[in-house]
Amino acid sequence: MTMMHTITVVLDAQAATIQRLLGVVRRRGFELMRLDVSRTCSDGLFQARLRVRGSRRAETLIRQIANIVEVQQVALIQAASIRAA
Amino acid sequence: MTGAELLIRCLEAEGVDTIFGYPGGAIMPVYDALLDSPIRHFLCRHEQGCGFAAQGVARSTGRVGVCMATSGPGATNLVTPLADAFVDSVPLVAITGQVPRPLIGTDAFQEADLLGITLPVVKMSWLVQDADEIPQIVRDGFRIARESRPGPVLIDFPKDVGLATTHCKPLPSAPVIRPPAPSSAVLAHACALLEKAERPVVYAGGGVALGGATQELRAFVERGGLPVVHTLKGLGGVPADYDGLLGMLGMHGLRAANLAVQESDLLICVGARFDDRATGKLDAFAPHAAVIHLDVDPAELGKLRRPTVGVAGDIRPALDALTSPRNIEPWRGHLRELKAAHAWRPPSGHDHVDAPSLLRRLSARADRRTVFACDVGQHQMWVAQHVAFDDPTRHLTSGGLGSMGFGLPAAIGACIANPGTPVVCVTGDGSLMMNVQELQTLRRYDLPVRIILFDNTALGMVRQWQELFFENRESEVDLSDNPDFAEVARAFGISAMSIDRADQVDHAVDRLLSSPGPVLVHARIPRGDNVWPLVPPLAANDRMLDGAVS
Ligand SMILES: Cc1ncc(C[n+]2csc(CCOP(=O)(O)OP(=O)(O)O)c2C)c(N)n1
Ligand SMILES: [Mg+2]
Repeated sequence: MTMMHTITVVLDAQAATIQRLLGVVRRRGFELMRLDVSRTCSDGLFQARLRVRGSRRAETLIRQIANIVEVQQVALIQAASIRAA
Repeated sequence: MTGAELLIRCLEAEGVDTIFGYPGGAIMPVYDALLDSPIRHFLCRHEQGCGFAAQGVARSTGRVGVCMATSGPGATNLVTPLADAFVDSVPLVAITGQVPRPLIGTDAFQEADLLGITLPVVKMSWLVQDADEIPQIVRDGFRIARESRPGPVLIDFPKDVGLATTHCKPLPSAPVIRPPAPSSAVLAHACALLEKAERPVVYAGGGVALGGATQELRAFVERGGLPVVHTLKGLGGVPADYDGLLGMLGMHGLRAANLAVQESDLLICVGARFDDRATGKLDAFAPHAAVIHLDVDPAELGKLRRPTVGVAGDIRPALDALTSPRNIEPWRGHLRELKAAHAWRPPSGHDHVDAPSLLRRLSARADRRTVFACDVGQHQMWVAQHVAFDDPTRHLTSGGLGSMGFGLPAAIGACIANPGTPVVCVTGDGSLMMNVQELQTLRRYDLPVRIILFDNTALGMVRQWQELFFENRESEVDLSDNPDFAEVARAFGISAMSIDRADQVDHAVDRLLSSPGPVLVHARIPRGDNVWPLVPPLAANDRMLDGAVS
């Protein structure tokens, strides 16, 4: 079943960090619906909030995101099934 | 000190003694610094060869392999070995030259965005921005490459960083930290399942050796007399003479191994990842089994098959903590019968060279420490089925990516990293040609790699599939215009012989094993010989075809 998931991630702000994050989302079979990222200069971190859509298990995606070296924290904060219109 | 000198000092601090590389413009400062270093540099004849040779070091020793290339085309030639190392979790550090920082992003000569190109196939990567960053990046690079689930990392190194002056010093290598031990509650749950299992099977993969847990796996299976199947990369996890060993599972697995898994009521997956080549149709894989899945990488737990108990973390203490089933004697007896009933039988009544028979002869005659590095195709599967391995680091094979061209350079790396250990490269007429230039590397360093080339004048594995699944319509698999491979080897200064009859096999095997220097045995085999058994794509693993018995 296709589901919508909201995920928050805190990552070290390095050159390719956001590309790595989005690469994992796409490669692991999820579609990006919304992305908010901001960077705090003081601590060199990205705060990201993603809405992604997919039929695979979100828990697996969370663990795959957690495997990205720059990821400090990742959480699945919301999941909702998508009804057929 | 220059940035390039600092880079080399940092590699020395990591204990690097061998690099496989190929020079060029952007990496020249590093090559200059290398002249004053005790690190041995081996020039392969293609950067892909460098990458696979570094893998040969890593796969045969567990140490981090190091390869190096210049910017642009040199660096893009490393992409296949990086992708290969990524799927097979091989610790590798690749250093690539990059154009000077002011030119990055200007489409400069030999500029390619290696960081961008390699993002999905590395554990981590850096574009070095400042010479002062070098010590930390190198230290992190080696740590990340080897820790937890190993894998490749990339350090992209701009030329002007190499020329810059720095006052930084190398950092000591990061301590090796074992992954966290699994929780005892989870292990207790796993033990409860084990204790009541009646038909357990251990499904052991490449993670066993990567996790340094070969001894722990052996102790665990021997405690309970547990039946074991191996993945391609797991071969050698338990020794070939272990009574409960059923062999490789999966598409080209042995019948008894696949049937055991299908009939099991408990599957204990150790460092394996339910790869489609191992499971066949996933929904129909081990359909009656509860699953205990041990893996250092939590992302593997439930990725394809939901475990009944997922045990994330260090598999060493996990294996030590696992208990044994109460009584599985009837099951063991049944499997012993299955194994005997489906044991391989030599073909009879022909006088051509039979590849499985030759490999069995080779396996029986070779020193038990011999490293076998394979290429990809039918011959690779015959090695997995017919060569006996007592240790996973003796079997180097491109499992996840299946990269033709892997065998010869991997053998070169293994030969250099394991002096005194015999190294055999088993290759095919298609695969050898993918990195044939590395014959010159053998000659240049006089490496006693023993090559057995199975020449079926075809891209045999693809031909077999066309025969079976595309109505025998052969499309671009014919290699009947192959060169004379023995002549090719001799042109590189490598001694060679050709055989095409069964009665020449014993002599050829003796020649192969006794040769003091590099040698190639070119074995012509029938074009139509197939690998059996075979589980057709998308079929369940008990639907094995076997042209050899029908
Ligand atoms: C780089 C690469 N290209 C294509 C393939 C697809 N492929 C898999 S096996 C095979 C045939 C290999 O031929 P050969 O080395 O002669 O081995 P054989 O199967 O004949 O023993 C091919 C083309 C591959 N695995 N790797
Ligand atoms: Mg062939």
